[in-house]
Amino acid sequence: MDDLVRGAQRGDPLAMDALVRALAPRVGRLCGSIALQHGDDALQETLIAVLRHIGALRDPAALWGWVRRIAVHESVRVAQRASRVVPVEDVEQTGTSDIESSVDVRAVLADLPVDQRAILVLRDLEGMSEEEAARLLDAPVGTVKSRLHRARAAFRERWVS
Amino acid sequence: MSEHGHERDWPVAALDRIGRLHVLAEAIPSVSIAEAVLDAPFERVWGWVSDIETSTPRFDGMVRRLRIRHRDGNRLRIMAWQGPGALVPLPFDVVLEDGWCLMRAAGRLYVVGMAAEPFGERTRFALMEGVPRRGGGLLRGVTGRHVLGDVRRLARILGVGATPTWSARPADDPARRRKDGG
Repeated sequence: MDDLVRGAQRGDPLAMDALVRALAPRVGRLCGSIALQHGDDALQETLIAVLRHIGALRDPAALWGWVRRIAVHESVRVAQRASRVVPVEDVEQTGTSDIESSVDVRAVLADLPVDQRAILVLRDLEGMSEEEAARLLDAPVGTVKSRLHRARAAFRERWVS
Repeated sequence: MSEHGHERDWPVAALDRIGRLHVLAEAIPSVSIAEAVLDAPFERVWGWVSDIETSTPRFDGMVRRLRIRHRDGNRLRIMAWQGPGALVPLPFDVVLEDGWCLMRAAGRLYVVGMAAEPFGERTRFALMEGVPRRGGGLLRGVTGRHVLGDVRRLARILGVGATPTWSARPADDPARRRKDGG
């Protein structure tokens, strides 16, 4: 991976492509879980930002932490931008919490505010501590803890219903 | 299994080959990209395009001749004679796969990317070209017209219709205006 980073930093198109392929699956899980139906857009925006700014990454070993930060911020930005213009049919389809017995994670996530989704994903998908998540999101630890508590409570409520 | 005992099937976002080419086109300085929906199945379009020794000199107005010198799986080394007056060929390192072809000239003097995806009975096809260096943007007007012309020429050779969906100049592109909310 270090070679791909250095190649992309030199502007080598083949290295840039290989780096995108290597990152896309893991970034796709983050973007899909936070930005939901806008996840594909968030993934594309994230990878563009990664390639455009790869020169700023001094230590290739720090790649994933750096990419994860970009992915979370792009996912929140894309989801918030999309939520400002919601087609009527989408409003009618969401918010009913019609969860099937086979747990539909997407439906539960869709009922959470994007900031709660981001914290839930960082803790439970990425395994980050609350302190690490707080640093990544530029939020106080107390805020992260309370958002995480609300997000998990919502999850538990849906799971047992 | 999460620490709370629930098996969570997290939603996953994905990037297809056309999307990947757009990522490269947005990030590589000074390249142009054009995209169209071709009225032919993917197998027919890519079956013809992927024979790059035959297809490239026919639909790429800047390539007179192309020869594969070495092949190792999906990695190729090719020589391309560009323009009518070029006597010395330019070597390219190439990745060639189903629906994907990325060519990088020695010294990063030029880059060519092609991507295709099935679109029902039709095919989404995108072509990216340019000089991948800062300052190469001086040529963007030329490469912009070039990639559009090549996509149209490809459709004519295949004898199919083509509906442009992404121009080489994003400001003129209806898809880009929609995406940007403009």
